[in-house]
Amino acid sequence: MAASDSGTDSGEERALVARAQEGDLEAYDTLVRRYQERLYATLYHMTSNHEDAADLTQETFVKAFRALRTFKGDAGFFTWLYRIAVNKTINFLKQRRHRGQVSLNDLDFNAENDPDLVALISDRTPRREVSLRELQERLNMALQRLSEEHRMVVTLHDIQGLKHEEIAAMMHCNVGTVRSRLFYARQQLQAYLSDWLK
Amino acid sequence: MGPEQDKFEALRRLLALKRHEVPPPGFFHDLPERVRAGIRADVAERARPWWQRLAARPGWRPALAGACALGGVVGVAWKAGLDPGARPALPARLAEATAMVSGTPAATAPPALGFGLRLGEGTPERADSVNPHLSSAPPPWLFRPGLRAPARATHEVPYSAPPGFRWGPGVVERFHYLPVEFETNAPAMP
Repeated sequence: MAASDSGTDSGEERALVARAQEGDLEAYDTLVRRYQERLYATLYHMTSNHEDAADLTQETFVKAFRALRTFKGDAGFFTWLYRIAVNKTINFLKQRRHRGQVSLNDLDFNAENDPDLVALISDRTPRREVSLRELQERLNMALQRLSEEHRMVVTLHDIQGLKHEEIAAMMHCNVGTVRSRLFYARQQLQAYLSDWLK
Repeated sequence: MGPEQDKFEALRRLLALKRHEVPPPGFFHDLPERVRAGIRADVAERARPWWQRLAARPGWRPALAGACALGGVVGVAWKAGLDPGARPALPARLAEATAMVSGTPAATAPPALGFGLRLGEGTPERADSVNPHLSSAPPPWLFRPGLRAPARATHEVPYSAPPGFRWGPGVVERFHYLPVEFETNAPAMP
């Protein structure tokens, strides 16, 4: 999911988009299934709340279907879809600013065996499961302390693995802005999580 | 890997934990159906007339009640501004008396401002006010030597009075500026 294969602008996808533009819901259903996991993951990392992310994902797909006739194909469908999601999510978070509630998803079974995470927590507690949950909460709280724009850049680059150029296209800014936001956001996170990063 | 990447390597490994967060089982199976339902609801919503869409919005009832209340207040205020009966009775009578004495037609009274008041009409509603509303026009006989002024202020209404006109203390004030000296300055009538 983290791999950057957003450039999937194949002939098959263009055909699906063209059919969806004609009102073919089956074709649009295929596009939804193709991108729903990555879109949901982005919105979940932005909100740290499953219900909010689920609603935003659904609303993004509905809005994209409504606006599909305006899609000219200048950028890939994935980039265009993400632009809608980014705008919608940032607006939502600015309105929600003073009632930020977290509703965290469970970790999958692979988390306990992730060598990066094992190295981080092995010397802190023998009860690995409890420590992972605590680490997850601390990490989400730290992300929520970032501004919406900085959190978006960290999410898209460091968690989802998108390229700077792709992020710049999605956020309507230049690559230099993406890089500077990423640097600042990492510094902030490092300060917030300093006791885990010693 | 550049020095910047090295600096944030520990953070990058920590952020990997986020990739292991997964939604409840079955979520991605149900999401396409939720999206289809949302699209159908959106299409049906956009097919409705605008007033039905407005009525379906939450909070429209308080807004409508507020608009009706505001409209009522504006209507009452507008009615009060147009209805002469809603104005105080005494200033109207004073204006009529002023028009009679000065010769100014009553129709030239300042336009209504609303709420029963007229321009320049800071009129006292009590007859014993210390700030009575007096006409700025000179008496008609002041610059016309042939016209004789009243001999003195009198309790008799000098000209024809409109029906229902009553002499009162407030009207006395209206005639206080008619000095007796005018009688001696005015040329004697043949």
